[in-house]
Amino acid sequence: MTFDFDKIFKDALGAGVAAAKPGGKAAEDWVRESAKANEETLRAIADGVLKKQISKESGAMLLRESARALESEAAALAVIIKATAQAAVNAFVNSVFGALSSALKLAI
Amino acid sequence: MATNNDLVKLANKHVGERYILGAFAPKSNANWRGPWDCAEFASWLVFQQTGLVLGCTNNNDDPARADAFSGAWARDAVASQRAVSIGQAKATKGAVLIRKPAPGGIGHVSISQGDGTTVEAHSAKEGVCNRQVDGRRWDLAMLVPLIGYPHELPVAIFTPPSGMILRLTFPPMHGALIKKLQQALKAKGIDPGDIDGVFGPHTEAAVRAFQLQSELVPDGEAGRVTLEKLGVVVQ
Repeated sequence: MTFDFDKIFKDALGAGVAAAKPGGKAAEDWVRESAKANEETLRAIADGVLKKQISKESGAMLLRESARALESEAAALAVIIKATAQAAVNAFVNSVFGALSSALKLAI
Repeated sequence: MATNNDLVKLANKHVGERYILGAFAPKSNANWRGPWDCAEFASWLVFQQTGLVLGCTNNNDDPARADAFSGAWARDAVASQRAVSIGQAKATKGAVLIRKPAPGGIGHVSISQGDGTTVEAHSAKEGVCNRQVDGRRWDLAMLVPLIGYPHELPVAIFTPPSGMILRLTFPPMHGALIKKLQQALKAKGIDPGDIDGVFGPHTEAAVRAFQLQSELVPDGEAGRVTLEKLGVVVQ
């Protein structure tokens, strides 16, 4: 199976933005920008595992850290978009991390 | 009550002053002009503005003797009622950003200017200077007690570092890249312990020694700048 980070990321972003829709444009923009801000970090971790530069365990740990960081950013948002943003981050995180762990055979 | 603007204004008056890792700053000496290290600088600023000893190993100590440490800043941020997200800190003038040290290690502390930049005691090479919040690793952020901040905190999107940061974690990071890092440290004459591809405390100490030698931020974490300086190519 070919590993396609761009597709995994695009699908996850789609899931996140869709989950943010009830919160309106502010929530959608927030999840889109937050996801994009983390894109290169996630890509570097995935590349590191794929090219065997770091172990799968280390890759899984770094991905978990990234997920926690995104979740805590969502938790700090204003109440009005917080619930939707959290749902959107969950949708994004579940999608991107599920796909990465499956493609890279990581235990996340 | 001092405001977040006052805190940042005072911090910026010290830009250009000298940095020495482990330097001590008497918090009650208003005329202190360095040398600083990152935690001492943040604690001195806070005491000068609020009369509060914060980020010190013992916050009940005499302010003239209280010793600041990034680990104590991390402790105070966790215990604080005023912890904020990194995105909020990035957008809030006078918020404190903290990189938590690994046990026995050294982290980093800086003050946000609210516009995506910081003012901080950075390194021996740069001294007290302004830097970006983005592209660096931060674990915690907090607002300083007894400092006035806007009622509604602004929020910005924080962009973490784009590459991997090799550092001491539990369980420890391991892999070929860490082996390359250890080999590069050894080639520079710094002993990282066994060349086993595991980022343990010896490797962390060796990274810190290299950073001190190279006048980089001595946090024991090998990110893009440290790896480049070591000639470690991340493919």
